[in-house]
Amino acid sequence: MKLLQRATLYYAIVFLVLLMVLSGFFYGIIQFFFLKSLDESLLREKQKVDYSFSANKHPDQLVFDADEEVEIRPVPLQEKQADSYHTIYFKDEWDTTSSLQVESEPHRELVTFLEHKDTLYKLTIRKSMIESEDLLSSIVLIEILVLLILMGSFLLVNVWISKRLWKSFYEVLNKIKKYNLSSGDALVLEKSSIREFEDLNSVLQTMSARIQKDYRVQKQFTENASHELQTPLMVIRSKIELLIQRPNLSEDQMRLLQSIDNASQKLSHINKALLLLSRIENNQFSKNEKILLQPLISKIVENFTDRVHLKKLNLELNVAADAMLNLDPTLAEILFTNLIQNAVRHNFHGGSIKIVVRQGKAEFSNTGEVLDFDQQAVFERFRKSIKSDEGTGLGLAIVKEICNVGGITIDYKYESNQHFFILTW
Amino acid sequence: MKVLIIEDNKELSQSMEAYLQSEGYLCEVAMDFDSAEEKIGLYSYDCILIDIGLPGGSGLELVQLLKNKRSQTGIIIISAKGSVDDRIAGLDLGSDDYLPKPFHLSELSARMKALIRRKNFEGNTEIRLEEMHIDPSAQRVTINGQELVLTKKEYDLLLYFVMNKNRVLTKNSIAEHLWGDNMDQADEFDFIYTHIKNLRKKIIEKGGKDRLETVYGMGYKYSSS
Repeated sequence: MKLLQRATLYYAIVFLVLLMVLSGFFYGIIQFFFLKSLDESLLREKQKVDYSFSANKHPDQLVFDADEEVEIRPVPLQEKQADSYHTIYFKDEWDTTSSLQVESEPHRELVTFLEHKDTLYKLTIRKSMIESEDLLSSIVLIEILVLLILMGSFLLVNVWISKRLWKSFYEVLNKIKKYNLSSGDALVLEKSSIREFEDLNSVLQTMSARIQKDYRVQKQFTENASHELQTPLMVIRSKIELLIQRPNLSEDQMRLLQSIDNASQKLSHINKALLLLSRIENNQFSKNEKILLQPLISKIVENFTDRVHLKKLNLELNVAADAMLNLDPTLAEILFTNLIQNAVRHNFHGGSIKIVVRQGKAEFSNTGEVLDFDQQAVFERFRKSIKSDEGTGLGLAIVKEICNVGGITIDYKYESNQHFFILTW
Repeated sequence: MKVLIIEDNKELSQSMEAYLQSEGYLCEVAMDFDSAEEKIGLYSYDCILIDIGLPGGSGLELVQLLKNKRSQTGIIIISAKGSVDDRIAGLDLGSDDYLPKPFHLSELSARMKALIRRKNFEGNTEIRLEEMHIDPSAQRVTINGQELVLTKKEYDLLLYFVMNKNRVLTKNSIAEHLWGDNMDQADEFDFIYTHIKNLRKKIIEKGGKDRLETVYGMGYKYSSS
């Protein structure tokens, strides 16, 4: 969920709760004041009666409002109580408009006692509350409406302001998303007028510069290290070559020398592969040109003829004549050599290899045992099967790296006992 | 045959010197740019091996220097850099061959022989070994006048042996010469064995003598007096 969406959601929740609490509160307050004024008017009626008593008028002669009902009844003296107000519900006799189903209407009632000429009168004054109730609900409704409009416009304004404020943040985010460490370019962010964002920018720029530097040093290190290893390795190999020319070496000694030679050969393969990897990473192969794939792949397959025959592999080659790839020629050759080598190496005796290339898509599949490690790790450096002693474990890492610099997507899958490498560009 | 080895690594230059001396070359060694420049100025050689990264300067400058002198010397660049640019630059300047490190001494020797043969005999590069006759320009082999029909790989293998006659060649070196370095060691023996078996058979069929010796545990050797 986006920041803005989340903030708006929170605001909306808070507003709704607030709206409920506030409307209840309003209702309570307004009702309180209504009752108060109603009670006051009831009290006035009482005073009216009181006054008529003092003027020696008979209460029956008094005129009351239409919505009022007054009941005066003499009661025994001892029944006297303090004045009390109640809200009661009943249906007015004269009200014929409302149907029977309609509930009784609310009325306010004042029960009071008046003494006149040694007689105690119980005075009950009732007034219908229906109009004030209607008024009350209209007022509360209008209140709620006003609140809703207020909150709605606040939310809209907030969204608009946030969008403006966070604009530079999203710009920075976009820049970082697109930033490619290996491109070697520094991270350039636009100035922001907001201090927090400006701080963020400068922190990001410093950080990326440091990472960039470390990355460069790291890459340089791999290249330098492999380069430095090259000569001592060559010394070892050349000394072995000199040594085996000596006469009278026993077969046993020869076998030892062969082991040393094999190991140093392997070491120099790994070293070469590492050097190649760091060179690709360092963009030392960037002479891109349009390469026709058919002659290239045929030539590479030709180089593997011996091994294909030896393993009795059934090789199916189907390359479209118009299939082209825009890549450095050296890299293109290494890419397809490694893929084909991989297909030959990790194959059964008597297995099969299928190469289908169309413009924009190449599919290499070969029979072989399922990987004994995670599929996702197939392109990782030095990742190879426990059973396989062959290879440097760098061939597919190199393939992946070439695909990276060449803008080619490569996918791996294992289906019906076959390894599939699918390249799309 | 005089050879100048320009290589700053002492051990490596000693190895090359020892190997080439046993092949009958007269070797001199220069270990930095200045002494190499001096030697090139003073003497003439049949072949010069030049390392690109030298203390005091680039080997490529030495190639330039030799070309300015219109020297007929064969030049082989040996470089640890192995980058395509270096290779192209070296060949553009007029070096005759480029050998990236690490290489097998037998490979170096084979390339040198081919180069010297090309330079000295101006096209007439035929190799005679007793009853065998090899014409590298036509890739044609005859035994006692009878043509020996070989596959490309068998021919390459035979030529490699002949160029390194009386030398033990490791399987690794043969494999790298024939298939480049993307060969699996486990497969090497089978391949080489198959090719050698066929080669032997064909030579014997034509009445030639089988001079291919198996050096147990290590590789093969082509013996010739």
